[in-house]
Amino acid sequence: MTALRGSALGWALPLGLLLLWEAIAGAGLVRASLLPPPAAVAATLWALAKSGELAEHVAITLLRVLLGFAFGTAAATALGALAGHSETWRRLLDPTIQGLRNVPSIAWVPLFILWLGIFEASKITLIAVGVFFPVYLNLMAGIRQTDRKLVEVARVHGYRGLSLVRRVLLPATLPAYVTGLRGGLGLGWMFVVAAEMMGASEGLGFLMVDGQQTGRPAVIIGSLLLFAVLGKATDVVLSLLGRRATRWQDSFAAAQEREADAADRAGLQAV
Amino acid sequence: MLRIERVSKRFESGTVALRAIDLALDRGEVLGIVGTSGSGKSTLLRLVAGLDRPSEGEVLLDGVPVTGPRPELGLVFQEPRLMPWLSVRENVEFALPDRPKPERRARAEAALARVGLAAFADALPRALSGGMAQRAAIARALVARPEVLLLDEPFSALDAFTRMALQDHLLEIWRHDRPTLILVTHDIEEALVLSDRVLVLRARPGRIHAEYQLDLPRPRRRTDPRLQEWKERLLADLDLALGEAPGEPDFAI
Repeated sequence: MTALRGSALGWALPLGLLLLWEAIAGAGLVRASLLPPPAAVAATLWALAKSGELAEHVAITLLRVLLGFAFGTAAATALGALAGHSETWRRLLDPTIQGLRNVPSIAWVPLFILWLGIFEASKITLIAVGVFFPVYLNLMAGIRQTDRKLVEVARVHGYRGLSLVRRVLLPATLPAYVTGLRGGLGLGWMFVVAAEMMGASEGLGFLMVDGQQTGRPAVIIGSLLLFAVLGKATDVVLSLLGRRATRWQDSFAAAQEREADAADRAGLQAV
Repeated sequence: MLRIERVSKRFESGTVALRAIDLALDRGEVLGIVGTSGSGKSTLLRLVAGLDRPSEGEVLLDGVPVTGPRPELGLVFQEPRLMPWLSVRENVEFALPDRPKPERRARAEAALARVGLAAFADALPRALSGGMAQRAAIARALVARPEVLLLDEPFSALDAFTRMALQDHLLEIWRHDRPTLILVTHDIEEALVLSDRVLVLRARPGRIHAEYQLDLPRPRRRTDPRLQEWKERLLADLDLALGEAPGEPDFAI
């Protein structure tokens, strides 16, 4: 019951906006060539889906995000772990990485296109760059903020090197790491749009540009909505995985989630 | 069995935390260490535990210099320091990294039963009260069966009632296993209830001010007038130690 109520609450705002949109479009307050009614957007998406075109666009965009996310996360995890664990590595790496972080990531585009061409490599690299920074920063900070007192307990019991990392640093860092992964994934979605708008022949970003150039606002709005849905869906997957791994946390949010879960279970039993 | 020979500790800041400490402990002895703040009592314990290295001198366990943490040396900190992501049992198993899983589990459960936490083996640390968490920490320190158990103000964060209960508990464990105990505390009564011998440290630099062999019979009662006499004597000592090196009083009556 609570689960239904909980997700119903989350749906209230989008549905309300949908109704408002329908009302505005229906009343003819805005020209349909600028803001088509929801039904027109749905029909456009449906037509695209039926022709199989939409699935191709979604698939290629999703693939780019996932590949970029994988590469960016891999690099950020390796460097973040090094910089977090070793003072020497941090002094070597961190100033450079912090400097590069201040380059707006879109600014890399010309260079990547020049180096890697206009096809997949430059796009995936751009997405990976976007994913890299939040993951790197959160992981490094997470490791550095690990409670010295817990590390000391591990030392007393003979843990060092890899066993110390595996048994103490890794679990202690996981909450910050999950935060970094979610932030990185969000930026990955941001950068896939940038990459696809700047030169692509398929993908949701391309579809938006195409909609703009052919004067079809329904296509643009439909793509926007798909971005929202896909971004949210991938984030939910990540946050569920993260919640499993960080269930032990004694934070305010974790306590609220536990309460909600308990209420859900009680509700299910009642049903 | 445990010898501390001419041990000094100088920090990088130049502060001399300990100067030329000499001390020998017999197997099964209970040594209480009291002192004003800055007298280096916790520093001394960390040196014995192998967490820090002395600037001069040596700590010898059965004749072998202590150069790092050793399984023969168990340590209980002021805070429980349980890993929040591990269950209470896993926290105790944490102290046995090299044992096979079934043995680890069996020994952890036995250790938890000894401190009265068998029912909480699967709970996460956040579900425990302060006293229960500290009992779990004691179980973790004991499960590897150390020859020497080092306790750094282990009950100071607990309320008076829980503190007394855990002191009695510690005595029970000591009667059963006879580990050598070194108890650093700022609670004079705690030192008197538990120790065979009490060491009074004074500050700047940390050194031994006085050393007393307690002639009190066991089991001891906190209301015993002889214990009260000892308490006054130790307080006078600490006042003297403070008089020469003013600082915040760091001991409780």
